[in-house]
Amino acid sequence: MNPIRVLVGVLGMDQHELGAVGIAKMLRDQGMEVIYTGCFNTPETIVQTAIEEDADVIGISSHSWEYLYYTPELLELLKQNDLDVPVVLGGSVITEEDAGKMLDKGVAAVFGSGSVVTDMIDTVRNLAARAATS
Amino acid sequence: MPRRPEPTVDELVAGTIRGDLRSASRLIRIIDDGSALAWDALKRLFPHSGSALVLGITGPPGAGKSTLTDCLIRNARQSGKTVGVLAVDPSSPISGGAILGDRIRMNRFALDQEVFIRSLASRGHFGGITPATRGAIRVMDAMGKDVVLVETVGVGQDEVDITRLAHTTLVVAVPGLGDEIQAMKAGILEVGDLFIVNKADRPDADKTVAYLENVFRRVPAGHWCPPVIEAQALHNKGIEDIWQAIVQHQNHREEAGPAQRAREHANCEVELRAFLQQGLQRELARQLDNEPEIQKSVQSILDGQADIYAATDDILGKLGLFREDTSEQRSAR
Repeated sequence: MNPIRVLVGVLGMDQHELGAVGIAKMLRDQGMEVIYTGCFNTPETIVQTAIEEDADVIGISSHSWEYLYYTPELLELLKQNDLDVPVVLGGSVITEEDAGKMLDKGVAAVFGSGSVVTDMIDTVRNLAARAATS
Repeated sequence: MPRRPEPTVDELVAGTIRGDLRSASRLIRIIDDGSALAWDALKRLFPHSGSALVLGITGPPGAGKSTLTDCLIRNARQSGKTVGVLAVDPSSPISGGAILGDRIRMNRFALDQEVFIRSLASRGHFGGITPATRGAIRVMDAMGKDVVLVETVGVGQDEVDITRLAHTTLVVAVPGLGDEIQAMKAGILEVGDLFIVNKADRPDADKTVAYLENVFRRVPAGHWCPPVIEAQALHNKGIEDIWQAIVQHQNHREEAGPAQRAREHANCEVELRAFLQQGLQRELARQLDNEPEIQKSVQSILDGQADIYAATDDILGKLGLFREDTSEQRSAR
């Protein structure tokens, strides 16, 4: 079984890195290779990094409102680049209403406050498997 | 969303030779995952490779390898060169997962299309690099990168694999790690081409430099004498000196004196033997998988009818891999 490669990062000026670090460790402990890009990413750097690292899944951690703007930009840019890598969004500030909007725009999964760890892991694993087999 | 059909290896090879990043990136994945397809792809890249300068950057954890790599990318870009970077971080021995974080230090090149940074996990390999590193270097070389920088995992003593792949190996040391330098003595200290004392604004930097210079004082004539260079990678200081030393080392290599030739010959032989052993192991594993005798022997051993030593000899003999005549070993007793 070859390791799944997941890109994990934070977009924009959001400096809340702890969530991203926590998720990165959690995925590492599940045997995944996490390309950790830290804070201050733009949609452009995320797309370029996903290409260079051949990422199976992109995980965006967000603890500020910026995701509302940057996540749709990221999805649009992925489309422009013809890059079919699923985006998973997570963060305590994501309301249920906004989660729905993000899913409508094409985010593969959203995990807000109170999410269950095993759900997140299974989701990443299933998305990566879909990418590998379809 | 319907996915595009996966590119074939032929397409990936052709794309890589054209310099296409996505083809090269996927090809490195295939190599990293140990796919049998990688072997043929790498053979086909050979005629298109060989022009890149490969630099190894190694040293203990926290010495500043990634930051120095970032500085070296900058200098190479300033002189118009294209750059590939392979950054190796350790895999967890427990889960097999990894956090690959070297590229954060090189973030300013995230959008530079002429800089291709790829993170690799050590995947259980202990030499400081990964089994896929050689192949990944070739991919970057074949896609036209002028310089390929290989940053190893944080190393201590004898992780010297990088010196067999790199044209020049930079060992990054830091002041205040006197004991660590001692520990490096037997392994990497013998094979590094350049020694960088990073964080040279720290106290005791001069002592570290003096210690290292002392180690190389008695290099025999005709051998490369590794320079010891002070640097502050975080402040971009000392980087020009490092490039000059790299150029000097390349000149030394091109002069190809007897010592240099002997070293390259020995390195190549070690590598070829390792490849042959891997090939033999793969072939043996395949043969053993198809060997019905194994199951019979296991049962005999469990039943107390056979002993494991004799059973091993029998099966190897059956595979034609064991000399029946063991009188030599016997008489040696």
